Amino acid sequence: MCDETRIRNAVLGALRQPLVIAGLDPNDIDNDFDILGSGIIDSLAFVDLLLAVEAELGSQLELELLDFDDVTSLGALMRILHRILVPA
Amino acid sequence: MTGIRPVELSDIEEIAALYERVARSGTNVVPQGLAEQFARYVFDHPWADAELPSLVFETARDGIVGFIGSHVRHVRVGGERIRAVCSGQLVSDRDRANPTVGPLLLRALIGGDQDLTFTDGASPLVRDIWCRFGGAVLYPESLSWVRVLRPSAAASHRLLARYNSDRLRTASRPVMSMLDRGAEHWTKPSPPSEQLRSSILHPGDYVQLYQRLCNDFGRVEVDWDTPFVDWLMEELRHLPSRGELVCKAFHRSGKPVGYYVALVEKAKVARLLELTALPADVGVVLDHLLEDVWSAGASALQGRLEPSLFEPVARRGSLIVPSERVLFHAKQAELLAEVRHHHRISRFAGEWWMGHHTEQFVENRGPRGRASASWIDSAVVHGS
Repeated sequence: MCDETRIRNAVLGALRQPLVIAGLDPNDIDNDFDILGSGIIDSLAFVDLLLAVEAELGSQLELELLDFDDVTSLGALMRILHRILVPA
Repeated sequence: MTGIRPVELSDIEEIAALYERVARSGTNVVPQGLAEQFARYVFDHPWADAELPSLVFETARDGIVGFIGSHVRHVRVGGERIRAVCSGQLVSDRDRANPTVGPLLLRALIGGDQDLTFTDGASPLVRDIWCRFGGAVLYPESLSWVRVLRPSAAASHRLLARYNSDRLRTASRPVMSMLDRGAEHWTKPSPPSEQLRSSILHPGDYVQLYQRLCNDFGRVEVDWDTPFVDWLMEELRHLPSRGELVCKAFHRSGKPVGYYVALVEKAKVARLLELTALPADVGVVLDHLLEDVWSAGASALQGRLEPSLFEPVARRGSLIVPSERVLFHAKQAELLAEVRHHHRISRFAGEWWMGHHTEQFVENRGPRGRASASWIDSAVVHGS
């Protein structure tokens, strides 16, 4: 099962450390939070996020065709991941 | 179209511009020759393989914002041919791409149809990403040994490198030479214990000797052929920033015992790309190399710390220093284990020598109209 709540928890779980380092409380993060624009993740943190989400959801994400310009917020990322994991 | 796709010939100018912005001058002024060099390395060499392509990351808004080079290498494991790729230049545009581009390009390349992926010019950041994707760092190959020959010249070369001033370098040379002459007693390498007969190592000779001498060492070997070695040596001959290519074979009683391939330049650090010899003759071939490099006026000799070289270089007063990381990735764990212990893939087979970020692209190569230049020698990912 890959509902949005599970995806959200997986993403926030992976982001917990960068968020805390940036002085943010993961519990206060809402869907409008700008993941990439906020500067809390660099290349390595993104890899950790990617691998953590994949481990949590139990499948490898095929992100190579993903337009990350659309990843304007946590909510947008979750919708994209949901679309990948649960194709229409 | 947005996302990752195989590179096309029509992308080359855009890739060169991206590379100039990210890894060279930081400007949009692309020197003549850079794009041609990319085209040669990506498309126009004997082992180019459309099934194992270099990749670009393209966005609808900004075009190509990321690139990773795929340099196909023919490799044998225990006599059986496998598909291998040397992962080359990894660049992403900090201003136009987000931190996802570099890792996604790397993962896509590693996930290609090849059995083995490696690189020999990786930064610590790329090492970290690579290892998270299941790759491994090779030691001691990620260390370098340095035999200092002319300490003042070596020190000034290193210190003046940041100013990039030929005038300053030229002006300081007489003083450094005087100091180094005074130190010769301690720094001049000992002559070889045995004078071996030497000859020029031509591409065909290299292929033969690699096979003949290599069988004593490792099961994971490059499956060289003369056209590719010819191409490789031709490219290495036209890298002014790296010095002159010197390739020598050594013989005893008419039988080959070893060879080396090195880049040598007066008053600068000479670089060893490969030294292969019969186990008992590694030391004497290294002595010949040191003697040649000394005679050429180099300030030091530097090479990758291959296991077979450890004892010989340690006994010749060399320093051991951290270097560009040598990384491997294999889809099969058994292959990765084999590589760790039994590989013979030197810098000559890698991408370390390419030096794209160091070339000035000022000299034409002649009839083929190719500029004498190359690109970067270490992977760059933004966001570090």
